[in-house]
Amino acid sequence: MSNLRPADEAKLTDIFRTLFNDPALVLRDELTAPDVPGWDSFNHINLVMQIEEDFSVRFTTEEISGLANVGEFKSLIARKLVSA
Amino acid sequence: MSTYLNPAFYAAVAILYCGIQLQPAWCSRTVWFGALNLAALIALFGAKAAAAFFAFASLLWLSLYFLQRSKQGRLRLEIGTYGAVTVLFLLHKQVLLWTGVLPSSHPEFDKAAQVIASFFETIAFAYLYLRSLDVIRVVSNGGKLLDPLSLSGYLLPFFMVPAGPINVYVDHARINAEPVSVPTWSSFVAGIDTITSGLFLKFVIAELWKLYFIGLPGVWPTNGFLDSIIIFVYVYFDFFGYSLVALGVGRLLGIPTPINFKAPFLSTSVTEFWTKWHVSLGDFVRRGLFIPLQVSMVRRFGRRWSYATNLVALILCFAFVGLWHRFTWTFVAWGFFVGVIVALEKILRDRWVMTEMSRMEFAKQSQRILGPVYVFLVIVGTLHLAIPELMGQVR
Repeated sequence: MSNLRPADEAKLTDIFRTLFNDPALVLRDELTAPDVPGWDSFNHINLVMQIEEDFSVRFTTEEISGLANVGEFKSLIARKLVSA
Repeated sequence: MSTYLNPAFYAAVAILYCGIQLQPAWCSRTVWFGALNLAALIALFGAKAAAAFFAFASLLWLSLYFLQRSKQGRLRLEIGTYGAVTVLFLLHKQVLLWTGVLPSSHPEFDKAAQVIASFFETIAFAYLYLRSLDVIRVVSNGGKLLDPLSLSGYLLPFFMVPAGPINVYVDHARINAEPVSVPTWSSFVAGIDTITSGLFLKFVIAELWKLYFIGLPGVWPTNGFLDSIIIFVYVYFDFFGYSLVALGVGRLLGIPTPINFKAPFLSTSVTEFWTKWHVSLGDFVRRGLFIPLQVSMVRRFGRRWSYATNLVALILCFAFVGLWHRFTWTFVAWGFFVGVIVALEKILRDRWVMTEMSRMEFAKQSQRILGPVYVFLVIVGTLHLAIPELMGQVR
């Protein structure tokens, strides 16, 4: 369970919906790449870069390669926002 | 082959299975396994090989220790550590090539090359190299450095010596934080079942296949396309069998061991095939090479070029896989060619999903049926030119 603020959750949902062209996409913590059409290794990097830009955070390659589902995205963003 | 036919291997598994349960309270699981593993390496591969391997692990540890603590010159140390293990890896590959073209006009040189090649092969240096890269990457990114004994247990688990897989450093380091699982009858049976399935695939299916097609002391014919198919099927059962034995032993001992095959022949694209064949290598390349290349190129050139830079990263990764198998132009070309096919598949797939036809049930069914046939022919086709080298022959 992440401790991302509701406003940040909404922002993250917006990023996913825009990038994967699915206005009805609901972000569950256990959601992984195979569950979302278009979320492949190519779009993964676009997703990461968009999140970095919108949340004004920066991830290391180690952190990026460890991201397996939406829950991990949320936790990582929350940690970055706290330490920023 | 000799390791899994050696009764001492199974004695070592049995002793370590019991030994693991006797872990003292003052000792972490990775240290305890490291010590037991070192004893198994000495028993199976000899004191000299085990000592040389432990010297390598200790030097790597020392270098990472200073890397972790250094404030200045950190980058130089990181590059130096990557460089040193890569030089050793290249030496290993080069020596293998030299021994392949022996005898030369210098018998003493030939003898030295044979000794070095045999040492590198004994400790499976190709796998050791990739594990070393994994540790360096994690530690240089601020990850935890295990002690030398634990590190040696990660770098060369005795049951992964014959044919991998490439285990993950972070997973190995994590076992200290996990509760010790009490061995149960069902987990024991599951482990034994995996080992015996692997032995059956390797020593019954693969060897009968080989015996049927080339006979007892036979040499693999490598000229025709059909020859390549026969070899490829043999390699599949051989490698899958080895991987299952390692997986079963890993499960028995509670040491994280990745699954290496996920029904690759049911893949409907070459891209999918390479996520299901030698999975641990694919995962290593993804986290250790593809993502770092992707990130650095997208940051350097901007998101506008991400599609193109991703394609370049993809092709470079496959070229690396080719080079890792054999340090020759044939294998670079093979890796590059496979990379281009995967890149083309990506481009076509992105165009295809935009079409109405891609949503039709007929199209989906056709892909499910014809996909595996296409994949099999393309994989054997790309391997066809490299197979003589793979089998140690000159075309």
